[in-house]
Amino acid sequence: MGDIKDKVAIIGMGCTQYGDLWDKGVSDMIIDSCYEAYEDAGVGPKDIEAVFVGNVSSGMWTGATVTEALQLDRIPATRVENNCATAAEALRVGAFAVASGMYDTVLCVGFEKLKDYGSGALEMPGGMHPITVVGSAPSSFSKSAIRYFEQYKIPYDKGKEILAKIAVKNHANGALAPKAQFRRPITMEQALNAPIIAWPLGLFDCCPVTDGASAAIITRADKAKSYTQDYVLIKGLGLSVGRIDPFKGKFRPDVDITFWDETWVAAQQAYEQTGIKDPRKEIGSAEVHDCFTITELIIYESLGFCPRGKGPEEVEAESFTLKGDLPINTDGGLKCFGHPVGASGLRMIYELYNQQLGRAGERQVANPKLGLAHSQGGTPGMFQASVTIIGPRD
Amino acid sequence: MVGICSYGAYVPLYRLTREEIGKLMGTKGAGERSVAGADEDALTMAIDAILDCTTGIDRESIDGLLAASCSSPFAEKQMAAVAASALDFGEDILTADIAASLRGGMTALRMAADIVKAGSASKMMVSASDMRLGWPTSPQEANIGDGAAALLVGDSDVIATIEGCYTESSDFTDLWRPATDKFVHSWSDRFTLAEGYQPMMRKAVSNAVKKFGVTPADITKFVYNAPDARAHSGIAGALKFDAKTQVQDPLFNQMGNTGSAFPLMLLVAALEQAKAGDTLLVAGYGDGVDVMLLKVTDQIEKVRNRHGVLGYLQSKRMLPSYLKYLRLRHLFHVEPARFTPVVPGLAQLWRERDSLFKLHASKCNQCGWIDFPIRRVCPKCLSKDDYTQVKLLDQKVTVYSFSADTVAVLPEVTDPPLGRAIIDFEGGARLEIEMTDYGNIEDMKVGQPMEMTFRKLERQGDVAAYGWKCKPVR
Repeated sequence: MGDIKDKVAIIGMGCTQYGDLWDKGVSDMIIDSCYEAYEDAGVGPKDIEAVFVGNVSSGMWTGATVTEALQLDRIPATRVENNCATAAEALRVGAFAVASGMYDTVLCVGFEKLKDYGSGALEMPGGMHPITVVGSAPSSFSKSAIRYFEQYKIPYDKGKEILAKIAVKNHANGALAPKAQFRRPITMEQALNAPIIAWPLGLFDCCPVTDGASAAIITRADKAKSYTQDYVLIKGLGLSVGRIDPFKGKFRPDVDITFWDETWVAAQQAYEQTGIKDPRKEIGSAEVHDCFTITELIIYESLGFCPRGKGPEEVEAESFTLKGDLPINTDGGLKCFGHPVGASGLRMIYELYNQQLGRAGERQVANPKLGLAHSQGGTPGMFQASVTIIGPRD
Repeated sequence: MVGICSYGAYVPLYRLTREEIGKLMGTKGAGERSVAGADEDALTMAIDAILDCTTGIDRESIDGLLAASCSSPFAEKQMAAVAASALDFGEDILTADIAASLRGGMTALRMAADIVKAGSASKMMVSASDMRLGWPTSPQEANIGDGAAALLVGDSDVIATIEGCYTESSDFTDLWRPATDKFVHSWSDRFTLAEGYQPMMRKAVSNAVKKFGVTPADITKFVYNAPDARAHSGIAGALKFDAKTQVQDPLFNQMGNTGSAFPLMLLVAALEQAKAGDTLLVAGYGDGVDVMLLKVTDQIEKVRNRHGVLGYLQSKRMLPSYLKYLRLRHLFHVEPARFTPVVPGLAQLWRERDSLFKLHASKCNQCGWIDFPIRRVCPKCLSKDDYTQVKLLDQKVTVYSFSADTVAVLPEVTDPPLGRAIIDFEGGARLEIEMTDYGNIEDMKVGQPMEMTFRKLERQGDVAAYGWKCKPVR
């Protein structure tokens, strides 16, 4: 396997406000996020040699949606998709395009417009299996919560409390993030007493469905300084795609839904590329795919931040709050930003980028070291898991 | 000797008290009726009854299926063919629906007996099932119950020999349903009982007994249907049977009038309590009368492990309100879904029928790995197109994990929350599937035993889609 470490620089990033963007169309979101990235990088439309576009929700949007919005004139534009890891995938493919020497400067943008179509909770829309696709994302992940509680003998009330603490932590962080959809802290009582969405998951255990776009401009590491002094380097890019599709009723008896295997594999790839031996010590802040609180709990273990079954202890010890030794979801995560599926991965990297450059305001962590972004598409049983690690320039 | 080889029944989980039904209009009522779940109909209940009837019996050995009902979900398309396919009867069989008559179940039983007697088949399955609709708030609605019975007729190992059959036909109209209407119509019972049910039953049963060469004193149990409890109680005395000892309880207060399934369900209930040597006289009324004489053999002890009517009646969950019943039957309009649903395509359903419909898994010929649905490339040893199809249906099932979904997209989740479960078959397959009839999700336990049930899949669109779901063992 080849090596991507320190070959590609992120020189500018942009992110729209996330939320119910009734007054913004897809073009508006693309323009807002990409022009923020242009200005940040000190580049203009004419510097962009190729575009990689992440979008999931429909076949309506293509690479041309971005060239049209930005009026980029007859350059290569490619839409990529990897479920909830789609935006991370746009960056990954873009990074390979730059590292190959094919292009110097590339725009990677992810966007999703879910709210125009009446979506409430990531119900499973058309295009999947007509018979075996039933139910919503919360329902898929609730089964992992039930198994996790069973496996580690966690009484129901205690389990609910651990999950609630994760939601409370993310809401506390999100309150400090100006672009988040939800900017208010919540209490344990609110989290515990919220209506049940898919038992045992309640309202605050679930991320919302949201509109948003995020963008990155990347270039060859040796060319970055010609644009800006403020940039970060890509250190590792892991991706692991499972081979079972629970959406088709497929489920193997050897699959354990209390651990995210694909996330573990993607993380190991990225750690090896970066040269990380002890992720808990070497990562300074992480943005992880907290589509549900149970997902985040299991992610702690699947990224190797703590041993299996020890996630609840770390939650009790507040290890992953802004004051903890490894702050996780410093911007409030999917819980507060919502989850515009094709955009979220680049929103996470946007937060890491700002942490690396000391721009995170009240959320700034003291020593950002290396930043890790984790996206995970799919459903327990099969994921498309992506781990992106970025770090400071030389 | 031709006779009944096995019996089975199905009563849906849900019951509604007639007191609850009467609250809306301020009427009174005694007892309760059975109510099919949101994903049940005459077809699915027939299949559940046949599953009960074929406990321990190889369904591929059955030569045909006659499915009786007045409430088939299809006006054009055969229920029996669907049921035979889902239950893996094999393809070289005779299937037919016996429709539109309240004595259809009895008629199907007689036809099956005649087919076996003629030597055309050695085993015929008979099912009778109904989920009829009375006009909302009508006495019929409260009187009706939902349910199904299944009887296997054959020429060997019979639990009850068929000693005689007798039929009288009549075009008398008391209950009817025009092809264009979904509710059962009725005429004043001052007329229909006095001029229809009572004289016709008395005459046909008297003639039958004469033909069979028996007297009421020879009969252990007289089993017969009636439009309602009052009409039922009048017949036994008039025909000189002792109402206290010789008459099968018509179960009006536990179940209700289950239409074409009713006489057969009462017969199943009688067989559940019968012992070798008993003589049963069975009569089914509707467009005339079918009468049959049965003699129970000592083989009956071999089929005791059925749910049966009485077993299923003991396992129940009360509906909270009449409104809930109206919702289950789609008798008021709800807001249409705003989200585009997934509509099943017939080509895909047909293509994947062995997995989706027959619940077949693939077993790798190289390494033995079992996977569902049928998978062409083995996940374990990666061999391609080298597998044998195995049946999951009769295997023991436990639940690995489960969920109750309050935000599912389906436009017609009539009875939310929508249950889903990941289940393990004892033979090694694990799959994710809908879960039904689970009650309170908080009461579910990881590892608890489950059973499979064939249900309607609630999907919008033109195609009526059915498939297997799991439910806690009743």
